[in-house]
Amino acid sequence: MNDTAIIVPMYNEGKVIKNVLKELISKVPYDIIVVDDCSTDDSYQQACVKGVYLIKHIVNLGQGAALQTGIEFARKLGKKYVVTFDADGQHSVEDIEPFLNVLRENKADIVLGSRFLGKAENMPEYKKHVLQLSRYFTYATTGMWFTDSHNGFRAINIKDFPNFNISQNRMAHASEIIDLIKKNKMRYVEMPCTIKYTDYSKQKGQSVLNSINIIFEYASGRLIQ
Amino acid sequence: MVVILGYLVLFAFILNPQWADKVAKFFGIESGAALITYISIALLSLISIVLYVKQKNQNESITKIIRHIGIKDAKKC
Repeated sequence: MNDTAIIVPMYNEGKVIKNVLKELISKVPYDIIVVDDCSTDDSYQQACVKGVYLIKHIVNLGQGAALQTGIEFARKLGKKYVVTFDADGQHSVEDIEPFLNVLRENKADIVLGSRFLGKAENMPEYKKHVLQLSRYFTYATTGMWFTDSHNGFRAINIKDFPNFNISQNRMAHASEIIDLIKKNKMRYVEMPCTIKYTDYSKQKGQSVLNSINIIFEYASGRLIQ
Repeated sequence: MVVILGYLVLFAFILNPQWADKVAKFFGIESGAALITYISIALLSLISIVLYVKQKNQNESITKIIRHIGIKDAKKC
């Protein structure tokens, strides 16, 4: 089916990206769009796997910006659905089809992954607590409850929602996506997904202190709007 | 405009401290010097906010340019 693209935002994943993309290509029949957010290692070269669309930001903008670039490119290619998929190997390719089936059956406009409904292999304890806190933050700012409000695995109907556009460049985009669901009156559902925490991905993950940055970016973005 | 007016008032008070004392007394503030301090803090805060908003808007423009270049030069491997 040519109506779907997998968007893979990437920053310094030279060690793993080739394997991630090869697995995606071997298991799903969809176009893959990799957005390199100005990596400083050889990620761009490693990501040039046959059949993959490759886009490069000439300046590092952030994961939110990379996702939006992927979404805009997917719209240019005429795609109806996108799945956002992390470049570090944490996400499971097997979760893609069940998420897309929900969109295709018109049961929702956006499907959000939840590691707490699914599986979080080797998740650090502190991360569990930080994510639980983020649920309360999301509820306080939007009135919406999620079991996992900061999960990068999502399937989105971008064609019927042309105003679904991420403006937060960095990690506050995850909170902004919840706002976009509300503003665009999108039907949403959470589904179980698997997040695999490896030594590699744990070392690359966000620090707890970055949560304060995220709150500040999100709050100032909303105030300015 | 607000900032310019604010600074004009501030300079007027600095050059004529007795005016600052009179206005301070009217608002129940203990001294003209305290009034000048409060006005200065308010003006500097306003300038910070305006600069922050301008910087955010510039960042948005930069993002649009970088995205446009990235999409224009996209390739299929």
